Amino acid sequence: MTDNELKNKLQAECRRPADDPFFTRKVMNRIPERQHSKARRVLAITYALAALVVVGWWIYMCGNFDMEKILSPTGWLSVMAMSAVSSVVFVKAAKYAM
Amino acid sequence: MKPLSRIAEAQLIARCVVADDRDAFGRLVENYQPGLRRFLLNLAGDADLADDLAQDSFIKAYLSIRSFRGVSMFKTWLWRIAYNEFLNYTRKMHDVRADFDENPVESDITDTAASSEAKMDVTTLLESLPVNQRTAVLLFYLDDRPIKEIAKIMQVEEGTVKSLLSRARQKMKEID
Repeated sequence: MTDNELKNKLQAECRRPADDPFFTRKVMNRIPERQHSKARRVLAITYALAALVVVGWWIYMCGNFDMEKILSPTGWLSVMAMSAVSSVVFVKAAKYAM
Repeated sequence: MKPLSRIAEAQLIARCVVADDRDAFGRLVENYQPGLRRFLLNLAGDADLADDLAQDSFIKAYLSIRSFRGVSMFKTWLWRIAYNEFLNYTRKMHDVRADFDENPVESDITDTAASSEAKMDVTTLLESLPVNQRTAVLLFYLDDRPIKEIAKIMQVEEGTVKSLLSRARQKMKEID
């Protein structure tokens, strides 16, 4: 039997495990509780501070509500941009807080 | 499932190391579990045992991912963990086939093959090999790995891998 024949034979006839759609979940369920690393704590604090800044900005915006400014193209754009930034910051802050 | 590119893999590993990101590790598990389970199934010969060892290997990899320096590929590192898990298991169970150079089954199988002329299937053929030869054969022929990588997984010299493969080939030719 040549090397290639042996390779083909093994690749064709070696046993294959049955598909297990829950394998990854089983592994993830067995992973021990999250260890809060230094880097993770730094990220959590950073996102928490960013969330505070975003909340401050929204409070300021609501306190100085001016429909004309908001409906202007730049005002509308900044509100949309801050909404997007707020969503990302809040999601990340919540994720790292858990 | 689409295999991960080297860059995507490096990003996932970085997320695991820096932020202990479990979703990222889940994607690594999803990507490597078919190959790792297949390797362990053919090495151990038992599906349940192979799955248990694969799970243990992934958990060990997760817990020690900060020690992964990226010198070898993640796959090579993961397979080395799995191979060590298998060796530890066989040692613990005092399995007779864990003996490296002396395989008591070897002579019986050669005798049987010589006397019965019955062709053996691949599983029997693999089971007739000592663990280290079987590992080298699986990594070389089934996984298509280069000798250098196999040496890293088995933590032996490249020359030793070549010699293991040569002895395994000889034995398989005798049996087949």
